[in-house]
Amino acid sequence: MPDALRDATFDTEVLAALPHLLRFARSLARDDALADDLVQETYLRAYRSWATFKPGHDARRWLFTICRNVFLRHREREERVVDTSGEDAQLESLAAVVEHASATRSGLGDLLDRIDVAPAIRAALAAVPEVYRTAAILVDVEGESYEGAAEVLGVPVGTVRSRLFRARRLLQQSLYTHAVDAGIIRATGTTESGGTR
Amino acid sequence: MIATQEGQPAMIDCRTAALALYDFLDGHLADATMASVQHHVDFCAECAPHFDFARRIMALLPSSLPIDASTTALSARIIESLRAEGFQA
Repeated sequence: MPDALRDATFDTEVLAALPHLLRFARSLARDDALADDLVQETYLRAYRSWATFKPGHDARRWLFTICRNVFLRHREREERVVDTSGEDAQLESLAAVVEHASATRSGLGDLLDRIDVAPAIRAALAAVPEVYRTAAILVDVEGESYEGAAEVLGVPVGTVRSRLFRARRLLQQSLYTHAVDAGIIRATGTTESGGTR
Repeated sequence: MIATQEGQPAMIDCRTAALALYDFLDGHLADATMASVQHHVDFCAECAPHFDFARRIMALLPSSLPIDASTTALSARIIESLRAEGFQA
């Protein structure tokens, strides 16, 4: 393929994904400047490897994969040591039962109507360890299938499922803590009568 | 697998429903199990708010992390760096 045509295709298929890639990078980095750097580096690597990209393949998924690899290299010291030994769907499900019991006692029913929900969710998600957060971003935000997320993360589909479920559970847990801290819900499980934000 | 009786959704308890929460919300359960969980949530005053809470969080996630349309400066920076690699578009 001539260079000009190759670059035009890169422009329309790869550069067009910039807004999604930036959101993904920000969710990984939790720092806008670092996210910009990750995205730039991702595009450089993508361009250098463009000849190996298979036509018809999902370009956005390919970019996510590169971006996460770049991010992991940046951050080798901290969250990579997160204990993922509990990546077992059954164990995660049992933890969900405990969470469920807690949630049903705590009066969560109208919590989302009583908090400034978007910032609360962003903060809660940022508190979820990267290994789980990325699964939630890929599936719940970017709309990837479990199989697509597995391809980006380089793990089996079952691992995506358990990471995703843990991310969702931690997100709920974090929102619950936020509500307790804000005085909207009592830690004992009863709702405050007067708190509205 | 949750069995059904006479075409009606099988009765399940709260623990079983909780175990199925996210698979249910993702629609990844067999039809009979989906029906059983739905039936339980429809009639369980404790599980319904939690399922609703989880469903709403999942629905609110994308809009809580909006796409940033103002990528012009970053886009220019990227294209400049790509041009240094020979990018021609």
